[in-house]
Amino acid sequence: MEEDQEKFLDEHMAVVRQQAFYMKKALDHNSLREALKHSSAMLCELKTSLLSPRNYFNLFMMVFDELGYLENHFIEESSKGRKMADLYESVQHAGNIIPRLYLMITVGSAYVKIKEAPVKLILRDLLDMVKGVQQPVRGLFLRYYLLKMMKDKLPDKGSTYEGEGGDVNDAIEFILQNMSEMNRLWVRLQHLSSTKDKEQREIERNELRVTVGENIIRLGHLDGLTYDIYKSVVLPKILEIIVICKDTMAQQYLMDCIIQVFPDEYHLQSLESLLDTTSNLNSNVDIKSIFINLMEKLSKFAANADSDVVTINKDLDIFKLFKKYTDKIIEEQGKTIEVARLLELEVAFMNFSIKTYPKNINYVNQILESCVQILKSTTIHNSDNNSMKLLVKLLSIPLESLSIAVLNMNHYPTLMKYMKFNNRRTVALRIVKAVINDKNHLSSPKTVDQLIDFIMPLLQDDKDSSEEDPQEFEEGQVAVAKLVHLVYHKTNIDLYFEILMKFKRIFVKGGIKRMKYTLPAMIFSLFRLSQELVNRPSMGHEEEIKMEDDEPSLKLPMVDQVKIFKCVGELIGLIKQQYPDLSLRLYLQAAEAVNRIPNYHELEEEAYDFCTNSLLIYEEELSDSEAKFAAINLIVSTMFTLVCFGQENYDTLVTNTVSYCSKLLKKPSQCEAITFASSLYYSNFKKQGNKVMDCLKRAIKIADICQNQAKNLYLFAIILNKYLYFYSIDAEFITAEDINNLLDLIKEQIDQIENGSEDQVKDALKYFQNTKAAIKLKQEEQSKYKDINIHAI
Amino acid sequence: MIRGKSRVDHQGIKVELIGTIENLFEKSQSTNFIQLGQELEPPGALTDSAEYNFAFNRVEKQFETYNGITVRLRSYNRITKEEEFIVFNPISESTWVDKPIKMEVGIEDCLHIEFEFSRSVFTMRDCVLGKVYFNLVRIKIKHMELNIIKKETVGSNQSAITESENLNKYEVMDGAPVKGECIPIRFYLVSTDLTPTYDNVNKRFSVRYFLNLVLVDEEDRRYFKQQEIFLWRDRLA
Repeated sequence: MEEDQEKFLDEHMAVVRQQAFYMKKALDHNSLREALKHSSAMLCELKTSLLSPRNYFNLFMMVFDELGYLENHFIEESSKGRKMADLYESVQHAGNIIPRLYLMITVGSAYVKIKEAPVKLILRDLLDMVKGVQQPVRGLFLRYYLLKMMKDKLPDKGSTYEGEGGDVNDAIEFILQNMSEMNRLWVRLQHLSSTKDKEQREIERNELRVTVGENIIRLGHLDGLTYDIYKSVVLPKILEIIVICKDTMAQQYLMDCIIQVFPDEYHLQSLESLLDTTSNLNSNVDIKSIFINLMEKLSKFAANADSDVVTINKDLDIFKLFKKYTDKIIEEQGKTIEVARLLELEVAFMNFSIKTYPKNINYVNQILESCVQILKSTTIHNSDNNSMKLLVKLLSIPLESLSIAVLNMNHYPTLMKYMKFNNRRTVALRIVKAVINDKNHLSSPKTVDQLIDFIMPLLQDDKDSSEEDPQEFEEGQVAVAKLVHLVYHKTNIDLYFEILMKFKRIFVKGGIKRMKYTLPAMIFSLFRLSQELVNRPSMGHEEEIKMEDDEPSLKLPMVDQVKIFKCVGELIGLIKQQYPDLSLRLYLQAAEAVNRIPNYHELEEEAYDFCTNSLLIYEEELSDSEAKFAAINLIVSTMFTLVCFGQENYDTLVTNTVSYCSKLLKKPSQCEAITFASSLYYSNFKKQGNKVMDCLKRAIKIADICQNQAKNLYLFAIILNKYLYFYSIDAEFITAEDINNLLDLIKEQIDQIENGSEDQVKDALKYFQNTKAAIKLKQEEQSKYKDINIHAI
Repeated sequence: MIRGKSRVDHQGIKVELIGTIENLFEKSQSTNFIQLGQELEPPGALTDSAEYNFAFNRVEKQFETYNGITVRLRSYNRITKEEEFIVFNPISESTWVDKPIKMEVGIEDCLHIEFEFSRSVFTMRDCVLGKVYFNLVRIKIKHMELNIIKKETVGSNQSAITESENLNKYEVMDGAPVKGECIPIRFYLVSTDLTPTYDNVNKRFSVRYFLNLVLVDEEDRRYFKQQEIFLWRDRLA
């Protein structure tokens, strides 16, 4: 079959090529008679019935190009004095109708171009004569040719053919009539007898649709097509053509053509007739997709429009109109077609509504209500992932512009209930992200209650929840963590605390994996609250508080620092078993947070607890020596800043900490840690120079022991810097002499190193050089540094 | 023309004007409707070139030259050889009454068409304009064409013989129309080799023309209807 087609096409093309060659040759010899003879012979090839529509199109395009050559020659002939009227008649002597009409159109085109005849008369004549071809494929292409040849010669507004040649109304009349006839031919094509099966025929027919659509495109390009003409002439006529043809394919396609071709302003103004027509279409026509296309196009228009789209047609409630028709579809077809298709329609409607009326919550709710209606009457099958995705979309679209306002829609949660857990979780994540992007504070307990309710799939597992992709899980939990930071209340600190507690109460039930993400966020939010409380103390004396935005008043307990930090302790306690490293850090942060509040003494026990807990974790949970080393340094640094302890507690903590330092497994680590920890004896809280020196001497001793290790040079560098630090803060126990002694010791060490090829040695030497440079700089500023003999190293 | 010094004897020099209708198949049926003679010289001899003027004044050449299938109308002068000339008699007005042609034809339950031609009398340079309406189409039409048929009748009464000739094939429709379709017809007569309609020329022959509208179906069956048209000559070629 396909091979035959190729053979046929080749044969026809060969003849066309040959005859076109002779035609051109004759034209070159100025023998018009011969040229017409050969062009006729060429055009006779278009009489074929052997080709598939697609191949016929290929043949047509080939002939089309050749005819362009001929038309140009006709125009040349005219400049030599030949009357186009005579030529127009003489080509009509041809006995075969196909060549005759193609030649008539070609001459007619030249005739109009040289302005020997008013275009409207030629259009009328040709339009009448082309009726002679009733064979659908040949007729379609003949009229397509007519349309193509005349498209730049229509008496459009502003065209040079306007005036004597007619006006835009003539152009419109011509195109509309041609379209009407072409559509009839196209529709008739399905009845064309053929041995091929019907399905194949319909596929082929569909391929020809652009020839019909070309008419609508031409109409759309007319400059003179004002809205008035569109509304009173063009649209009614096209809709009439569409309705009376009673052909599903044509109706579907042409409705889409209207939507795509004509300006959106026109659609908005004539929406009713367009929508109304859909009721008169064949029952097989997919009206939903027509609506979807229309709404999508208008959404885009609304999104890009300078002015408010709604103002284009003040008298018309566009939303109401669409609502009416979409509801009608749901009512009529709801039982017979897939849920997904209906939801698709609602998604498009939602999109349209959001773009056109960005702030109208009521409209969104109405659409959601329609969806609830759809879902009430049908059940979504478990495997219907498409519907689920659409529901997710439906619920996500309003979030972009309405964000948290969606929580006030009663149909929103109803709709969520129809979804599977996984999909609910997707929507929940979208909601969370929308709220985050919105950057508005969460200050209403009611909103937070609703929000928590909505995003529950992210917060807790459900009986039908399934294993989640780790990356998605993390994404969700990170988002939830961000959400917590949005909690804030600028006037009522008790309420602020209460809102945080709403999250807390849910978080603690979320399982250890979630808590890893949610609890730190909660803890830091509590720290922030603690600071807020410092700045503006709670005013609640357990009295009624007047709520904003019409929420019922409720009695709130008074918040204080103790409550906050009790809570912090409780939260860290929940995760310390599973995440010791994280908990250790959180404890230290908590201690620091306590330290930041002015009346920290009231919370000394809590702070002490935090520190001991971190030490306990250090001792009991950490085993990796690297981790231990990092942790103890962290503990030391934190401890150094703390002033919230009494003497006894502080001593206990410091003693323990320093002893942990000296119990580190590796000697260099011990040395380093002890060096750092020495500062603990010389903090803001308490200064004990002798203990510092004990530590440092122990460190030097250890460094000495490490002699044969490359790291030992580095250790000395650290100790030297610690010396210099104490010297810089004028600690009474460090003198220049001490430093010089240490430098001597270091010089010995350096001298012992024969070749400093090892990286660590190089690094250490560099460290020394830098230290030396720093001392040099200091020497220029402060005289006390002059006593240091830097030339030793 | 006498060549050299020869001498030509003759039984007198005579010029004749002859109008004849020849039946190409039946010589005996040929007749001369004009036979006029003039003596230019009594019997004698010619020794030199000589020139004679002659004229047949006021001879009515009432019949046009016609070269048909079975009949030929010739006018010629005959001296020693025949010298033929063409006779055309344009007229300023036709004698036929021009009426539009309107017809409804069909085959019951299969095909019902109406056609109309705006005129039935044409000069030979005219254009035939018409329309065909399809009121009922139940056959699979492949195309429609318009033919001009020439009918030449020789003889009279019982012995008359009529010969038909299809002069052209002019396609007016490609494909099958649906009910309610109206197909335009525009046919330029000059594209076909025609003569005026001749009615009973010298009681010997007639030439008549018919428009034949033919529908051809997919099995190549032809459905046709003929209508006479009348042609006249309004000027020389």
